[in-house]
Amino acid sequence: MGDKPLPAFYCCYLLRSKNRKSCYIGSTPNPARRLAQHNGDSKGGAKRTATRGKRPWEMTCVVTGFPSKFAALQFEWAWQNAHATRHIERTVRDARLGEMQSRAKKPDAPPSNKRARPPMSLEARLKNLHYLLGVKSFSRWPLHIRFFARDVFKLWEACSTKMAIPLRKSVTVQLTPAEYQTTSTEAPTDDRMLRIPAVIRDIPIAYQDCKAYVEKSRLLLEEAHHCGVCRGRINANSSLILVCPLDNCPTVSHMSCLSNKFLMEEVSRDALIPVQGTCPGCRSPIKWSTLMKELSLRTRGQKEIETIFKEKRRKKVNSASQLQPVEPPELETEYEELEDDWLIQVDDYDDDDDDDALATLDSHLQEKSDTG
Amino acid sequence: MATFDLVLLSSSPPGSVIAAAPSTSPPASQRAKMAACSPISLSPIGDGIKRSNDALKSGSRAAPVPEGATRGFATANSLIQSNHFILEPEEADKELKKPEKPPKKGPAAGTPSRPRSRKPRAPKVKFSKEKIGPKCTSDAATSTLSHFPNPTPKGRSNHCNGTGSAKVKDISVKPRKPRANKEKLVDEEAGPRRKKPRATRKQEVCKSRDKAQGNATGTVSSHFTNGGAIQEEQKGENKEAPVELFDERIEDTSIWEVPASPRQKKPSPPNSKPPDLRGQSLELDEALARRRDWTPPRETIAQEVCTASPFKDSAIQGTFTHMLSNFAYAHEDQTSTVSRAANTEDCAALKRQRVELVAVSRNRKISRSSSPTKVVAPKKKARTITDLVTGQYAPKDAVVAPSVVASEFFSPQTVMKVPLKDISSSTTSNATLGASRKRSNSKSSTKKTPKLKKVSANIAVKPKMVAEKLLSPASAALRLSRQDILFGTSSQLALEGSPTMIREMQRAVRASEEEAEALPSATLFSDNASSHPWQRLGKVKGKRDLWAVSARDEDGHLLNKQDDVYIPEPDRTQDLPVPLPMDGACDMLETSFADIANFQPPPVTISSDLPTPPNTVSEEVPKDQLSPAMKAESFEDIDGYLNDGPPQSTQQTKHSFLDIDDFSPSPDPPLEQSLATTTSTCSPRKRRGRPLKSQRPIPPRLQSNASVLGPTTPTKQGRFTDIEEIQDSEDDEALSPTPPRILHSPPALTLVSPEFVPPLPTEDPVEIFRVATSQLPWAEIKDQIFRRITQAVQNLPPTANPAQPSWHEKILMYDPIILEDFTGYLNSQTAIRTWKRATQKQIKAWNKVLKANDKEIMQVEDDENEALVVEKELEIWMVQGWCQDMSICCILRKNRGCGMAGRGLY
Repeated sequence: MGDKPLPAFYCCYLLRSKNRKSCYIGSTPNPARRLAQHNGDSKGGAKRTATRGKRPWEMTCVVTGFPSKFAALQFEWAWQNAHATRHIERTVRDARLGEMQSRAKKPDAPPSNKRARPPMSLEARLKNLHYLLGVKSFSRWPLHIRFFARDVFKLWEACSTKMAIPLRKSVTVQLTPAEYQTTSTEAPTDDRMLRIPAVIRDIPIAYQDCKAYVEKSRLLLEEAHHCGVCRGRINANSSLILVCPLDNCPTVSHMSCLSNKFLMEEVSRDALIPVQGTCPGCRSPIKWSTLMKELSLRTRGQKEIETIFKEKRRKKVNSASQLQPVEPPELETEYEELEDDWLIQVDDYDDDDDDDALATLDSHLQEKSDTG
Repeated sequence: MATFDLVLLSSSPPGSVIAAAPSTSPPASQRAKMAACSPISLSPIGDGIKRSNDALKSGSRAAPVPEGATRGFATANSLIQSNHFILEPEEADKELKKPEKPPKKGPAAGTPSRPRSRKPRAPKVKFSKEKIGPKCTSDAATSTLSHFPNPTPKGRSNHCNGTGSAKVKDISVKPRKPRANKEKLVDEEAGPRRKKPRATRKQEVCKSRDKAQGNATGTVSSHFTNGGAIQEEQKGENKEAPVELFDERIEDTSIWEVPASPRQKKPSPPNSKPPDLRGQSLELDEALARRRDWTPPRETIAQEVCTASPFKDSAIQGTFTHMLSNFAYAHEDQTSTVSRAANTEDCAALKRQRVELVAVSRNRKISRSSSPTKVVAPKKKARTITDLVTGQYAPKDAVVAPSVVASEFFSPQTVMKVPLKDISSSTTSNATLGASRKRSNSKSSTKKTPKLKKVSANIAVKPKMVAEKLLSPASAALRLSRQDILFGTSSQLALEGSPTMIREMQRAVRASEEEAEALPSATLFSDNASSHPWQRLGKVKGKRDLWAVSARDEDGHLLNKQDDVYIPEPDRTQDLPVPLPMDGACDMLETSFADIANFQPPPVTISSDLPTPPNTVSEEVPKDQLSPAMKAESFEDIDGYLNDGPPQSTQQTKHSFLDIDDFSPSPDPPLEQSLATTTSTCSPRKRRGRPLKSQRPIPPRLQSNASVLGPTTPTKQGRFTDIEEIQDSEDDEALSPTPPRILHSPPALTLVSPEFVPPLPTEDPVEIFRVATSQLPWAEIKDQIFRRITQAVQNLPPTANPAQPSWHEKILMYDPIILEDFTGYLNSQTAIRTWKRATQKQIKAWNKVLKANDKEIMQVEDDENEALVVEKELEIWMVQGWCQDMSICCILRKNRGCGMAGRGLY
């Protein structure tokens, strides 16, 4: 648990089938690869998404920024089972469930046992997401939303206005419409990854963007510093030190000092985990998660750092422009790096799929009954 | 000795025999015989085939046949109606039976010479009839049909000899004996069939006499004596011809098929037989040509097949008893056959041939076993290791033949009628007690019931046969020496967990029976029926008393439960002991099939009695007594839970656990009672082991829950408790279907049980605090606790080792918090506690301490807003709530791998 740095990327995503009738919620550290799996372009993928009639799946949105795989799985489960999750108070859950059931075409549907997941429309799922992001359990998680489908984003905005509690401001919502070129017009390309929208493919899923930060902190911490908050002496070997992520800011501080400062700024009474704050040196806003990612990389991610710098050398060898050539090698390295995680994740999905299978059975039956 | 030699001879021919077998089956004489018996006998096709073979052989020697025919008629009637009683004793002494039977037949046949030869057959017939009679009249009819074919082949053989009547008859008489020997061997397996053929012969003879077909009858008799050997070697052609005739007349295809599918043959033979009688002359002509075509060995095979087929038929028809009986008597029969063979040898070359024929017959048997026909398989089974094993018991049977047979019959009966056990056991004990073999006797007795119901015995034996595996001869021998054999139906055996248990049960039953049995075992029928049951009932009553006492002493619930449960239990118990009682009981049952009706009522009463005792107890004692004690404690605990909220009641739960232990003994008595009814002494082990299970806290919890729920559940309570108790006893588990399982898995209260168990109140006096009652419910103090936890975490000093961050730093770094570890840390490193109501014991103990220290005694009045409480450690779910409140990702370690929800990811 404590052995690994924060994941470079972990997201929960909402899939929508081609027929636009069914949705799927999952989590992955690599959305492009995962989407390919769901669409049958590569091995793996949830059983639930294996139905031919529902392919291809469209990744409508992702919730990013999960600080750990467990966090992502927890959020995924809560999102999938908003009617049963402990993160939503029972009264709210029951009210919501009652609301959904009353809307359902079959009022006489059997009362939901824990496993019976009420069929949820895309809108309902978005509402659940909206609500979950405001729930205490996830209120301080560094989460962000990114939409790839315009209509879903519109729907989200419509939902947001309806929701009693507005989305907390720390959650950024972003729309980056994905262009599905190959699906209809062009014949399937040999490169299956090309069928994945470029926007999704371009999601940085490695520590790539941390490279400069890590490099800077390394260099900074070689020298002696004083804490930017308490002005005390800093010994990087005996305490956890945070470094301002900005390139030009040499501010270094104790983690405890900076966290207290951030919390003070937030005026949150009894929160433990800050969300963001201002750097005591450069006064620029800093996200706590950014600091933590770098810290965890520095303290626990020896391997990851090595891979980052390996890649860097490759890049240097390759070309002058860093940005463009970065992408393909990044993917490869991600595969290598995430190998272990990936296996575990597959297992998780298997577990999940069993549950899903049950749920889907129910949903199918209900659908059939509805149609018939 | 001779028999073995014969077997060797037979071994060579079988190959040819097999091929010829189908063709030879239906001679004209058979048809005639069939016609006589046919309407009734529609019986198995195989029988018809057999008949045909016999007819071919014996066709010419009509004279001897009439005797047999007369006998057969007499026997048939007598057998069906009244033979059972007479025959049973005869069966007991097999050798004796043969002589006995011939006299009976003799009068019917009217010819003294034939009776001798037929006498052996007659006894066989009687056996078969006896066996068949009890089973089914239809079986008897079928058997008679089958028997008919046998005589017919004899007639054919007579034809071959070409000699007319009396001389041939005389000669034939001796050869008949060998056949009889063969038949005896067969009889062991298919005695009834031969009897029937004899009867058919008689009929045929009569008809032939009427029709002036005396020659044919004479030939038939000669065929019996000379048997297939002559036909095979010398006169094979003649035999072939009749066989062919049969084939044509009877439907060639059917005949061929007959060995394979006996049933089809059965219907066909009766139809065909009458025409055969009419057109025998025509058949002879055709037969000659056919004989040319046919090779003699085939004929022999056909005979074998025919003989085999009847056996097979009998076995198939469900007369497994025949199989068993045949095996059991095999030794005796062999001896008799040997003696007969010796006689035949003395006579002449014909005798030699006859001897060979006898050997052939055995060979035939072997070939039968080897032959592809379905019937063969059971025979093979008979010769399997199981047979060998049972054979060990066979000598015992021979020594006490009647008893053994009775036991065999008994086994099935006992199985069928559980209540009979007591009676039967008494009788059986008398019969078999003599030796140390009681176990073996009991076991053997089950198989060996001699008298009436071979079928039932066969049924009982069969499963065993099938079940046992084939071993190498050496290993089998070793095992034979070692093995103790339990006889019983598969269901019985399956129910009993360990053979040792069964044996113990048997011992106990026997011992009890012996003690109880002051009455003479000799009076089987009336005496046993009347007196034994009563005595046993008296015993049962004694058991009842024990039950009642035990039940009353401990808890009424158990008794109540028993009422419901018991109804099934007596059956099982009866079933279980069944094998045991078999020893003594077999005699009773077998001897009195008619009597059984009389017996049954008492067993029924017994069975009713068994259930009743618990009922009475339950009615008197149960619910009220149990419920107050149980409810009092359980109720209090529950109330406490309700008031305090879920978490705080850990200590109380412990109390309930302790209480449960006290309760635990209660479940035991019912078990003991049930066991006692079946086996008084057998099951101390079970008792010991089971009580532990019963002691599990679950049942009391359930009761408490039920009580809390309300008045609606009293019956449920009884059931639940009963069921669990039943579960404790393995036997009971089988009886009680599903509810116990459901009960087993109620982890509902697990939440209450704290992982960090506070020290037991008894050990050290726990400090007691006076706290406002508002502090008790979790919801009220939750915020306070959370705040304290947060402060405790925030105040943690920063770590000096970046590799080992503090909890605070872990949280800041988004590390998933493992709840178990964090809770343990909080409980061990912080003073954050919740409150839980103190129990009276704790208060008393603490007040003692206070007194010792000259301090005021802690007391709280009921109406006050304060309560005496003890500290209670934080629990995981509390810490989880805190993490959730602080937006900290937390997971559970213990359930990791059980899915998302199991990991606390829900």
